[in-house]
Order: sequence, then C-alpha cells, then structure tokens
Amino acid sequence: MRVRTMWIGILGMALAVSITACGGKKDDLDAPDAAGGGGPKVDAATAGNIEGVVSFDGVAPKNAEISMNADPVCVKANGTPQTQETYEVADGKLANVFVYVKDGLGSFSYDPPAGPITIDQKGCRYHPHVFGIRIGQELDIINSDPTLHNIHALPKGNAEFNTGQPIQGMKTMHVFNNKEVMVPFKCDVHGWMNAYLGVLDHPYFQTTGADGKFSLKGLPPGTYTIEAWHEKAGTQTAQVTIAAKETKPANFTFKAPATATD
Amino acid sequence: MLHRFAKFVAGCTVLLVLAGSLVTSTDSGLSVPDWPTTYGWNMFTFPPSKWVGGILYEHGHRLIASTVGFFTIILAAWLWMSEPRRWMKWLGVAALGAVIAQGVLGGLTVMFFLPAPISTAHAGLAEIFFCMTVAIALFTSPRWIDGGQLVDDAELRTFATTTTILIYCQILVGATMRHTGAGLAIPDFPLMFGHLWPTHWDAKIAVHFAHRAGAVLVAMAVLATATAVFRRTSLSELRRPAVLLVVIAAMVWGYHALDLPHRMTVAGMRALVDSHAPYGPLVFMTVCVAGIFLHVPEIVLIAIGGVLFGSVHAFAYGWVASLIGATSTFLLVRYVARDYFQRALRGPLVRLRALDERLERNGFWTVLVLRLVLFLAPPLNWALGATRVRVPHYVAGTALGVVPGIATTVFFADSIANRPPGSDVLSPGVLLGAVLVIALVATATFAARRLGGRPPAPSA
Repeated sequence: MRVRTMWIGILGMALAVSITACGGKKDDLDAPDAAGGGGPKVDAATAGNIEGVVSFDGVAPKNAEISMNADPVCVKANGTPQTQETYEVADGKLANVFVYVKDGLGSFSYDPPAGPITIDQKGCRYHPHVFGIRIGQELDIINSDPTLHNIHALPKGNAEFNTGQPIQGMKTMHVFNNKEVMVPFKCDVHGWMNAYLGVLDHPYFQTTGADGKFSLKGLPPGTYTIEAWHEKAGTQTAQVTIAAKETKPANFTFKAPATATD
Repeated sequence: MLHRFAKFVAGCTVLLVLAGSLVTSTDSGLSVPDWPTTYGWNMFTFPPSKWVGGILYEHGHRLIASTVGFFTIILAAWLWMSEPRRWMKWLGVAALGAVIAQGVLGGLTVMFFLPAPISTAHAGLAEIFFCMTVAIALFTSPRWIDGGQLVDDAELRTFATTTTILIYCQILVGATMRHTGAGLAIPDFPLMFGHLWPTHWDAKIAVHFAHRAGAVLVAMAVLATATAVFRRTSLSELRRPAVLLVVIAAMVWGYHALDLPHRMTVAGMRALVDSHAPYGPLVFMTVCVAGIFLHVPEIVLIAIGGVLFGSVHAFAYGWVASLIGATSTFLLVRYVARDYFQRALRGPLVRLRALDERLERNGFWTVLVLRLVLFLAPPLNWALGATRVRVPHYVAGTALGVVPGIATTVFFADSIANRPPGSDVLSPGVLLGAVLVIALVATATFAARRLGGRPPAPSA
C-alpha cells in the first residue's frame, strides 16, 4: 500500500510540475518601458536621418499559392487565385522589409507613443503584414471580416496569446512588454494568414512599402547598426554614422535564392 | 447486444482517433482558442455555419470526442449493471476514466498552446483508450465467453507482448516527432543526409532518428511474431491478425518510402500528368487498360481521371480505355486461352452458363444489361469470352452499357474535386452526381429484373 501511495504521489507531482512548466514559461515579464533607457531626451536641433531603399536583385521567387476554399467568406472577399505576401517585388524594390536601429542608441529616453497601432483582419489577410510597435504601446486587433478569426501570437520573449474574434467588428487590445524582432502572428482558422511584428524600445523603425523606401528620422548623432529584416530572405545589417543634422543613406539589396521557388 | 454496442464504440473510437490526427495534420489545434467553450458558445450550440477553416477539424474532433465520451458512459454503466465478471466492470470504469482524462488533456493542450508533452500524452492516451474499447468488445464476444480454443503458449505470449510494447513506444516516439515538428528533421529517405547514419545531431534529428530506428525494430518484431504464430498454431483467429499485422506494417512502410503523403494529392497527381503532357491522356488510358487486366477497380481509376482531366475529357479517355480493355480481355479468352479460362473461371462461368443461350440469341441486349448491372466487373470481362456471345454484340453492348457508369463516375469525381472555390461540398453539381448515381443503380436494378428476375443460380 505504501508503494502504491508513493507512486500516486510521484505521478501527481510529475503532472503538477509539467503543467506548471508548460503554463508558466511566458509570464515572467518585465514591466513595460515605452520610454527607452531612461537617459536624456534626443535634441531635435541636432537630430539627423537615415534613409534608404531596399532592392531585390534577380527574379523574385514565386509566392506560394493559397486556397481559401475552406471559408466561403474569404473566397468572396478575394476571388482566386491568391498567393502569399512573401515576396512583394515591384521594379526591383522589395516591400514588407522591417528596417530598424538594432544597435548604437545608448540610453536615450523617448516621448511616449502617440497612439495605438492597429492590425486588421480584413479579406482574410492581416493588414499590415509586417509592422513595428513600441514596448508598452497599445496594439488594437480588429476583425473586419464577417467570419471568425483567431489571432495567435508566437513570440519567444513575450507572452504567447491566442484570441478568438468570432464577430465582425470585434476589437481586442494587447501590449508587448519585451523587445523582440519579430513576433509572428498566425490565424489557425485560415492557415495562410500570417503577419510579423517588431517590438522595440525606441521609435526608429519602418516597414518598406511598394517603393522599397524607408526613413528613420530624428536620430541623435552617432554610429548605428541598421538591420533590414525580411520574412524569407533573412536579415542584412549596415553601419551608418551620422553627424548633427545629417541625413545619410543606407541601402540594402536582397538577392534571389539559388532555387527561385518558395 | 452489449458486445455489439462495444464494437460500435470501438468503431466510433477509430473515427475519433482519425479526427484527432487530422487536427494535428491540418495544424488546426488552436483554431478554437477556448475550451470547453467554442468561441464563447456552448460546444453543442456552436452554429455549423461557423465551422470554417481549421475550426471544422478542431470543433469536429471535440464533438466526436463528446459523443464517444457519452457512449463510453453508457458502456461503463452497462458493464457495471450486467457484467458478472468483476474485472470487466472495472475495465468499463477504467475506459470511462481514460476518456475523461483524454478530454482534460485535450483541453489543457489548447489552453497552454499545444505544449509537446501534453499533446504527446493526448496522442498516447488515445491509443490506450482505443485498445480498451477493443478489449471490451473482445471480452464481451460470445466466442471469448464460451472459451473457444485456448492457446497457452508462453513463447508466443512473449513475442506478442514485446511487439505490442515496441509498437506503443514507436507510437509515442512518433507522436513526439509530430508535436515537436521533427517530421522533416532528416529530409531524405531511406538515407539520412545522404549517409547511412546522420552526419550531425540535434534534439529533433535524434527524435526523428529514433522513430526510424523504431520502425525497423517494430518491423522485425512484427515479422517475428507473425512467423511464431504460423509456426506454433494453426488457429485462424491468430493467423489472420498476424497476416493483417504484416500487411499493415508493409503499408505504413510503403506509405513513407514512396512519399505518398505528397503524391496522393490532387495537385500532386495533376503535376505528374502535366509533366508528361501531351502523353498524360495516353498514360491514363494505358493505366485504365492495364487496370482491367490486373483487376484494379476500374471505377476508381476512372474517378481519378475525372479529377485530373475534368468530366468531358475523362469520359472520352475512360470510355475508349474501357472498350479497349474489355475487348482485349474478351478476345484473349475467346481466341487464345479459352480452355484455361474455362477452368480458371469455373465459378463465374457457371452463373453465366445459364445465360449462354440468351447471350447467343440476344447478345447485344444481354451484354448491355450485364454491363449496366455489373459495369466493368473483372470476372465479367473474362467470363463472357468463354460464352457463345458474338464479338460484335459483345463490343456494341459493352460500348453502350458502360456509358452511364463512366459518365456518372467522372461527373461525380469532377464535381467534388473541381467544384468552384468556396462552394460547399454539397454543391448543385455534387448533388446532381449523387442523383445520377441513384438513377444508375435504379436503372441497373430495373434492367436486371427485366433480364430474368434474380441472377441465375449455379447449376453445376
């Protein structure tokens, strides 16, 4: 009887430990710090800019075709055929590249974010597909579709969440507490829906549009590591030094992979 | 009655396990973020119109699981009240406990975002619960209760037990591989990174390698057990499952070795056909003709044609191939190997001999009706060659008689596989196909009655 009791105890403890281990891993988060390092504010009179273009060299791999047949609402909103947003290339310029200051800012403090950032589930796609947010800034998640979505964030340094939005017009708010580039989002209902969010402790980031351009404005003089991140092509970095009131270029070129298929 | 119900529950559990595996295969595990509710609804009142995308699999799995859980409550109560064997009463309770634990594990895995240990435990307990339902069905069977022929062979028991344990371990390793995303950690097969042994290691490669090594071990254990069964007993109750075990092991092995998961999709098959254009139709027709010689169900091949080429083209190709195949087999029997086939096909011939006079006198109509009723049934192709039916009558009767079957098959397959994007499975095209199938069966039945009532009885 003692042996049996001991086994039951061990099993119970193992279950408790495994549940605790599984459930508690993402909740050890710091308090949000939207203001940055707590140091001096950036002097607008001496601030400069880094601007550039992200290009794509070669033939862009064909984006994977997606079938939306699983949900008539999505088919109605889009028609067919549809493809993933992986490589958005026009005139040799690459869109959906997240460009940000990776290093060199020191301990400046910044004005709090102006307002919330929005991600909209519309036409069974995420809008925007690649975007940035500041630590502690409000992320408004909206479902504009007359169908159900679940927005499932899969961060490594923030708390994972999976929120259901079954009703059109629903809005949910979320805040990220830790720096992380990038946090992937997916919809498990519609497997093709994905988005990427860069969470930073400073305001120097931008996602390239169809013209491939980006602009990081208001940087204090200094030497910076600028990183360009693309969901498939990977990352590239550049070192840029700017003097007071100077605007310097930083251009990036991603090359087509050896096998042009996605 | 209890035995029948136990078999029914075991059958439902097969469906439940399949539905559960589909949830993982379609990556739908978190498409319903809440549990036990579904997007805030009570699980049983969640509107079917909202079963879209991954929700269909996840919510469907939950509903099937609830149903099986309900059946298990009935089974456990039934066993408790009517079963004289005390251990059987407790087996019913254990099954109920397993299905409840399984539900809780399913809920936990959703709430904690599919942690691999809980998802693997959910998959592992599923197999245990399934085995419990099968065991209950077996132990309540009349032959088991009557005693039957007992086999008390310690060595055989060791073989069977070892194999069972190995298979279960392999299931657990396989589930771990699936839930840790290690299915493609080693991308080539049967070699590993081009070598007989992995050239580098990490946790995922180790799990994947363990699953491959486990497969070899299980295959050896299965063969050893089957050999032992055949050497040590002549009981068909043991020999049949032993053969089945080997066949299933071979099927699982072949499924992975031939990379069927990627080839057996509509897109995969279409790509194969496109890569052989313009020979695609010729390849298809050759396969159909070969299928008639090899007794492959022709209706399946023609349905595949409907999926690949669309109704009209598939009908033309299928009709030509069926006519060539059916005529070739007929002529082969008639002019090359009549004596051999008369001996080999004694069974079907006996039934047709009663029709022989009618076949000679009124060949076209008789073949037509036989085709309507039996379509391209392999024995019919061979057997008619050994009757007195005239060649033109056979060819004409076949040419016309297979039309409804081929047309319905390609239309039905085409309407399901190539339905307009976003349309429901029950689209007008599919419904029309279903109506055509019913009409075909009704016509065939009516034709069979006009031909002479019931099929002729064997006369010798």
